[in-house]
Amino acid sequence: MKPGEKKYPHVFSPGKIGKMEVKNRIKYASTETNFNYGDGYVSDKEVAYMEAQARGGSGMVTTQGAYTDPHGEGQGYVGMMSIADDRFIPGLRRISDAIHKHGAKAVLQLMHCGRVGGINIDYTVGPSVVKQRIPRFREPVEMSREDIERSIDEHVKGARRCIESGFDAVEISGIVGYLLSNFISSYTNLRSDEYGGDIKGRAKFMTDIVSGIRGEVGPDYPIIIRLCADELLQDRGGNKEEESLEVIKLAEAAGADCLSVTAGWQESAVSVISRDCRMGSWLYLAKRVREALKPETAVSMAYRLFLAEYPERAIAAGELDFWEACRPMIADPNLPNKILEGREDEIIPCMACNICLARLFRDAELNCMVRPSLGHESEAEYGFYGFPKTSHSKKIWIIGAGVAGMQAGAIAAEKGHRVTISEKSDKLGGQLAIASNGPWGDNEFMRLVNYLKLRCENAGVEFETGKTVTAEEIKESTADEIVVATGAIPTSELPGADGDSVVSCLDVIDGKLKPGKNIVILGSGGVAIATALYLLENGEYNITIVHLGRKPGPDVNPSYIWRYMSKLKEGKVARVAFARPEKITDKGVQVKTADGDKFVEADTVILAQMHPVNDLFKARKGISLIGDAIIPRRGNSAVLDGYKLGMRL
Amino acid sequence: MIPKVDVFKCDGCGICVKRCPPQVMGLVQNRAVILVDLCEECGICHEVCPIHAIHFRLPNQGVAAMHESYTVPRQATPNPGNWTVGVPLGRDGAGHYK
Repeated sequence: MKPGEKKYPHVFSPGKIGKMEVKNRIKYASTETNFNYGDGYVSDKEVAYMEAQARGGSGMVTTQGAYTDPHGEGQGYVGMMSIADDRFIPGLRRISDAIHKHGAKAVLQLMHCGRVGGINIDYTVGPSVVKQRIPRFREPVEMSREDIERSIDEHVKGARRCIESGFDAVEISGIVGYLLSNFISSYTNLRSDEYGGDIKGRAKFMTDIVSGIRGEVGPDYPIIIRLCADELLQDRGGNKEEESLEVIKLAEAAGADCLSVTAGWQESAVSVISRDCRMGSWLYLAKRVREALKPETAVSMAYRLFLAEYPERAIAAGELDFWEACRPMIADPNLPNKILEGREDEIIPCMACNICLARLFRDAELNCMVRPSLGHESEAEYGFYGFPKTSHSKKIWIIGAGVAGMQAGAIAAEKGHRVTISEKSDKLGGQLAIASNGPWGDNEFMRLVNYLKLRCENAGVEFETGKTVTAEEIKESTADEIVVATGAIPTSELPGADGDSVVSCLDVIDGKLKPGKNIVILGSGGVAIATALYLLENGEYNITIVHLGRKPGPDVNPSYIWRYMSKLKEGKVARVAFARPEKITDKGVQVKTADGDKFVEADTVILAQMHPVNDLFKARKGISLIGDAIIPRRGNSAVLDGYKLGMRL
Repeated sequence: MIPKVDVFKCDGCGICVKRCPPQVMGLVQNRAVILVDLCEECGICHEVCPIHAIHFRLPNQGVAAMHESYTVPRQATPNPGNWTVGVPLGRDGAGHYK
């Protein structure tokens, strides 16, 4: 018995969906990747990615959603694959073969993006004309009866092609604002014909598809459907919770074998999957659905279940049957095997930073903060399946044990180099360790620091903490490669910046000093916002942010910034926009704004504009500089810099 | 994929340089350039370029039009093959229909 089976007996027990037997309760949940060709054909990159997911040890692997109509009305992402014609079957078969090779069950998802689709054509379709809240998307055209019947038929044909492509089960996506959910929700469905009206009418499109597919595939083929258990659109006239539950029961009656429970739409004004949502906080929905359905129907859920203990507890209590992991497995496809082998600390932890979603919405390929090898699984130099050993081992000295330094050190050591990392302070992790003091789930950042530390230690990296490196030492060093990863600190060259009332945001967030009651934060980036949020949670302060531009945080992920801004507003944080500080005095800050000069009073001035620390780089020629020490940026850049440099060492 | 500047089109307006989130773009000979090692592949430069001189999605992602895995030939794409040319907006996934 492996350690993981002992610790999580329910997660690693075999499960069943309809007649399909699955080796464990872990399912890689479907996500778009934008890796495929623009015309719907599967690319090599996608196959390599899906193979990596299957090789990781999950019982079921779901492909990304495939659009079902030949015109591209259902295509919501530029690199989405298609199942609208038989000519796509050979490519899809490559995916199912790759998944089967590693003993997992292959599931294909059918997805018509509806109101958020039609990316390459000049219109989108939906049940009724309801304007979009997110500016990226366009208003839909109302579907006629013929359109609806054609769409149902296309879904059924898609399910037939799914069998022909060798998949073990078919999944239908009816979540977050895609076509099925558009029909189900009272917010987007204003029809008065048989596909609208009461909840039975609104669900008719969905039940017609499920029963149509059931008729096509026969009684034994598993059908999974993803539906919202709570749309979180009550403010815009969405379905009530009882109605959503009713829809789920109708789906079961129509022939679905497994209900994948989700929460929220893209348009919901509530945090659903970000860090400020506690892990496991949506499990009550799964429980509610589980209680409402027949025992033979399986219930699965994704949504902030990053650690195995949450699904384990829920499965043991009979509230859930399958653990769906999407972002945790984008970050580390080997998650199931690592849990099984008792190496949980070695899992690359997802930070819920949502850079993956931000990239998809910009028509870019999927990208990950913590795993730069994403999308490069088939390229040996990215080392997803282990880095090649070097033939001549070098002595490498890295200065700074922040994220960039540790990432570079870990890779270099794994390749067989002798690596030493020197760190000025006595703890590792640099800015990320300090940022983990922040509110709203930011303590999860320590997972990344601890993972990198462990990876370094396993690879044999030596750490020297509490050591301040001087330029002389670099000049005289015998190391073959020197890497400067000294990061960034907030500084200012304004007159009066050396005064007693001026402090660094890093010291404040680290809890080293307590600022006065009236505070001015100088900074336009995410760091300034983080400082303000930290202060709001840790005392009573009057805070003013002085920033360039209309809003602070142009570098912050769009799926976080609106949340942060509303939290700043709730905390009554004042902002001085389009402002450039001119002078700092004991009483406050003199700023120049678009409408003249202004004086902002303050007891404490917090500097929150980061500047690189790279004087050691100038000590000697031919050494490398990575991370914030080049340009202060976000955490994903630090990991990426460290990774790219590590690949080259 | 790292975006690609079409130097024959670029007029050096510098909007991409201003909007690049990690600030890794600049002008050389009045043409936009990207420090590729530091590029985060976010695609904002492509999105903000007023004259579409930055390509972010190559035709067929730089792979030849005929794919070995397919028994059926791929349909003709507007600009197959030569990935140094980039792809026009519209079909084949150059981005949102504008």
